Amino acid sequence: MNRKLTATFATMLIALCLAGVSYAMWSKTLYIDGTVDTGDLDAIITFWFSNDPPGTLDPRPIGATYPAKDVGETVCTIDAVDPQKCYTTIYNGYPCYNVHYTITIMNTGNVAWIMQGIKIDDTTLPNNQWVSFDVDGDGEPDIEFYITDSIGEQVEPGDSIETSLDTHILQTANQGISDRTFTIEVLLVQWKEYQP
Amino acid sequence: MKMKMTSVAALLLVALMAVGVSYALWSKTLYIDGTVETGDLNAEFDLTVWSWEALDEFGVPIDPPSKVEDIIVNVYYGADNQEIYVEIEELYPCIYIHIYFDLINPGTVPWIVNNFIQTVPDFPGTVTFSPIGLIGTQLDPGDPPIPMGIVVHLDNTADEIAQYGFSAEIEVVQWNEYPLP
Repeated sequence: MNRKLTATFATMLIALCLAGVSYAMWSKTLYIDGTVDTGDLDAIITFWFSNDPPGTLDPRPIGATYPAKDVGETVCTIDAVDPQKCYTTIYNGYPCYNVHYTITIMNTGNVAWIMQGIKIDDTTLPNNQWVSFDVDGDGEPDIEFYITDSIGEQVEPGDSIETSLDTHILQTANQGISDRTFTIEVLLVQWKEYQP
Repeated sequence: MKMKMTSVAALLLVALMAVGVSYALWSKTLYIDGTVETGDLNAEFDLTVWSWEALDEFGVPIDPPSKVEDIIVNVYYGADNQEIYVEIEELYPCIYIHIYFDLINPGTVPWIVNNFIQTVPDFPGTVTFSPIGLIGTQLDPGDPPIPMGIVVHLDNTADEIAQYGFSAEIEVVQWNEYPLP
């Protein structure tokens, strides 16, 4: 009796296997495997200088008749470790001291970007318009900034953009301002995300 | 006496032969030999004419193309033509990568797509397969291929220099077995 049961079980097992094989042979499963590697939006500052480096005569407005003097000076440096940062310091500035900065930003990633805007101490700077700041908190503007035609420009990977920034110390600036730091942020966005 | 017995035996033998011949003449045996050769249920991806393009959200090609020239798309077979690998490199948000390829029936038995399982775990965007309503589609041997497509789109939650994955399975079954229980 026991032997008969074993034989029946074995037969059923074989039958099941056969049924399974025949089923598998009459269907197919196809596979799609996908991977997506994302790109790199990146930029570095490659050039940053002013028109009044140490040891040069102060810039004068066009048409100025007074003699040029070397009174103030502006030092520009790019961070050696992180070239996404740069620094500038104005020494011995005075009312009407006007400095023109040139900055070159290179697209070192593989995604095109557009300069969305420039902020100074969280204040957005519009294109081609002076914006003044009270740096010592006395309620009077001390310095003003001007960005020229750079917002909205697109830069392809490997290309660079050169833009200019002007600063002008105002008559209402107090004497003796020192160690007052301002932060300029240049926001670059992926070209598809630019909002005019 | 001996001779008489021999004659009877010979007579009987002849009679038996005669009966035998006549019996054989009045019967027929017909034979049928059968063989069954089974068909081939087969489905494959066809990448001979695969292509891709980068479009914006309105389905318009990115212009100028230099904006997407760094994006690399590769589609290739795996172990056999029933597995393909799709690789997209240097993709960034807001671009829609459209990939086109075919699904063919190189076998001898019609099949119907019984199931389609898409797996897109933690994908920062969307992966859309087409045609919509693939399940239930029948393809006979020799029929034009089913044009298939994948649209991959990243949203702004995607990280830079990261890798994301997706996968899909297409199960086809013999046409008269659809749908499988």
